[in-house]
Amino acid sequence: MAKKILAVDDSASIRQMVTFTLQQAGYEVLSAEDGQKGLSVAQSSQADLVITDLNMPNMDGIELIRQLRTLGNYKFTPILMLTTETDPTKKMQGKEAGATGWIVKPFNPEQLLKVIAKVLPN
Amino acid sequence: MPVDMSQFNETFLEEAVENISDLEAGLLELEAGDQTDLNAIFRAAHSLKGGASTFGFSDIADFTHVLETLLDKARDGDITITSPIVDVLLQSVDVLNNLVEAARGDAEAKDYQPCLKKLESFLTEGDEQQETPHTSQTAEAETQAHGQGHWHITFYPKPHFPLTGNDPIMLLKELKLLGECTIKPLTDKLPKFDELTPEYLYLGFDVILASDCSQDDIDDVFMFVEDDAHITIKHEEDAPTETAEERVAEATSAQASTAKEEVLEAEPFEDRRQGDRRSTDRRQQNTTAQTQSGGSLRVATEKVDMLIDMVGELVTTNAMVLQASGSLQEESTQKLTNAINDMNRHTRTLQEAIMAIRMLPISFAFNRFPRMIRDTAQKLGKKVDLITAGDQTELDKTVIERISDPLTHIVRNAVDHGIESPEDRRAIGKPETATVKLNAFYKGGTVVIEVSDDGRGLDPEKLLKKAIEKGVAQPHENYSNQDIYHFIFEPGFSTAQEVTDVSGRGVGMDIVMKNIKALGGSVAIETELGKGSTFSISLPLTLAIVDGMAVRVGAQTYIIPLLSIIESLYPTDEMLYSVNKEVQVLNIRGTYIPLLQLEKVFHNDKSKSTKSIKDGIAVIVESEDKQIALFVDELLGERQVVIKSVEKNYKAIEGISGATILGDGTVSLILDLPGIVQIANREGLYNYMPTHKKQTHDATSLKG
Repeated sequence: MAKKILAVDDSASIRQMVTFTLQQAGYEVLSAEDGQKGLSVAQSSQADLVITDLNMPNMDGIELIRQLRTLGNYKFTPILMLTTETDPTKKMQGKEAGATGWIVKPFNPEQLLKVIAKVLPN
Repeated sequence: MPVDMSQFNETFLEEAVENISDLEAGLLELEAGDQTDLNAIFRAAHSLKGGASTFGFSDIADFTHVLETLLDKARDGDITITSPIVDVLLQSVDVLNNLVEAARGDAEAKDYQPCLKKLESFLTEGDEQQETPHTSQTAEAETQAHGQGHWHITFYPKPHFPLTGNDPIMLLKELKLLGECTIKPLTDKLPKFDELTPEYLYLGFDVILASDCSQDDIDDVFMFVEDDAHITIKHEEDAPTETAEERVAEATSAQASTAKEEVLEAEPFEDRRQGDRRSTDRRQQNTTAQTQSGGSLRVATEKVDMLIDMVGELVTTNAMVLQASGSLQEESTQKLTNAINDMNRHTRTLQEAIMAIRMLPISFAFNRFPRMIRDTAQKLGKKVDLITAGDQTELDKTVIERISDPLTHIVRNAVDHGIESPEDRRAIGKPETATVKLNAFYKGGTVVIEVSDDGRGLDPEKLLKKAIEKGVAQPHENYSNQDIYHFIFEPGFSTAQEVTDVSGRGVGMDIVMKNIKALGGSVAIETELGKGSTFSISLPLTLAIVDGMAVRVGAQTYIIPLLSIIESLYPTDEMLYSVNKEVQVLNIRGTYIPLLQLEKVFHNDKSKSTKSIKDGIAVIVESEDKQIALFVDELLGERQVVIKSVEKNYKAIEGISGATILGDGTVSLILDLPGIVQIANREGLYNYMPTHKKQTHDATSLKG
């Protein structure tokens, strides 16, 4: 069965790009437009990997990571955050909240798949 | 499997427009002194930059980067947002809009350097770019490749390691991609059994990596876990003492209880990925790029238009079937008739659903006004508040796009001409700050957009005087106030003296009226001297279908838009008056209404009526507050018709707004009433200007 990835980003174009790329690569993709929605999608369907943007309305990515880690079935799930190189504090905060790794923006589909391969067992 | 990134451009650009508009709205709120979430403003810029750099719009990305940095500092309290900063930020909004338009190919990209420089000037203090710890570390690290020897890596994950979502097995597999690995578990950190926390990891790994890779390559493997593990990486010249096989065997037995067996998987990592891809290939082919969240789905306009065209064809076919079924023998075909009725209902529902796809909230048009009013008022030294209501009223995308400019003009006029200066307002006891209100609501099959101001209102006497001066009005005619107000829409009414920086952009109110008419809309004006004015623009919900009355005139069938029809009646001799050889009027309950024969309007014998006036029917229609009677032979009944462009398929015909295909397959022309009035006026078929009372339903709606 295809691995299921949850992509959370408030930007429709990034969501679309990520979704398309992951589907092309054979993953099943769920998506949500903010942390709040991402959390409820994560609760209703077990994802094998979560990719989340950090700056989002309603619930930001850091809080989403924190909340996910409190859920029993997301304790060990790899969570990747989308972050910019210019924002080291965000990266630290994300790590402290429980993020597994990060993808530096801007990224292209190849980079995205490469980082996913680092943390998501086949 | 390269992904064609350009397929996301349209989505990005649409989103960019939204982000820019959010940015602008946030800035305006900020300026108004409202409690604004700086985070939201920052996020709009941040999102825009992220998307722009991802999708390769480097101009937008570069510019937004500076904007974002400034907003970030403001958010952190390092910079206080002052009025000059807001001004520059708003200029940035214009720059960004231009860059997006340029990216679409709709405009020339203007030079954004001046604006960028201004932004940068606010950033002077503490501007140095920070490097991330990771980047600086790798920069310091040894980067030369090692031709011989091997790497010796010890890797002790900290106990909480699994809770970061990382998996040591994944890292070891990644190392294996770099070269041949001999992995040995290190159990020296293993606590006593009763001190063991099941979710923690206590194993370490000793790895001999035979590879000529650089230290960077190894650092890359561990990049996410630098802080979650103790890692040493050494390059050693000595060959490993044991053979790889022996080490692996040893490792297996030692780790058997904890480590996962994937370590031993002989199948190379990459190959498995390929296999996975192949197995899902078929599924991917059917997958389209789309967001799966409940919100909205972006679809290319052409696709929707295609659907609308097809559903239009379906409606037409449906009408044909319906008509054909009418001639069948009733008893034998009862079931068929029922089925056809069902199909008819479903077709309608489907059509409505598909039409709804094209509907957008009017807020798309309203969004530009806060900024515009701010700029206009500032330029004129006036104080104006904007109130919007009914933002969520939906209408056709094309209607929204095409109403934006006329609406802007009316709003700008309200601020420029309608609203008095603060001093004047104070002198007459009005609050210094004027109010402009935009309101949208449904009324029957139309959408009404009201632009109200509490300014000086229109003065009918002055307007009439000026209209006569300009030759727009005749000196000795008796005009109703409505007629006089509408003079402002006449060509040539605006004068050069009035062309100010604000209102005079080379577009007069006559063009505004023309554009609104082209949309099948009309404007009503309600005004009270000294109190203010309300311009009510009525627009059809959609341009694609119209409810019409099919009428026969001679050999032709015409469609009259149903909303324009006031009543139909059989004219009697007592009603009919001849003004001159060409012009006849009907006296209907004391109001004289010109009676038009379409054969004269279109100079077409085919539309020569077969009946004498008292045998036919007069259809009273209203066009722009004027009533006319159209003489027809027969009413054929109401039809919902799909509008086809005559201009696209043939050429534009004055007095005809489109064509449609009727149930029996014949083509019928849709009458353009304002156009017909124009022809009649020009050709002297209609030189009588009737006065009539304003419709009461209009008056009530204006107050709503």
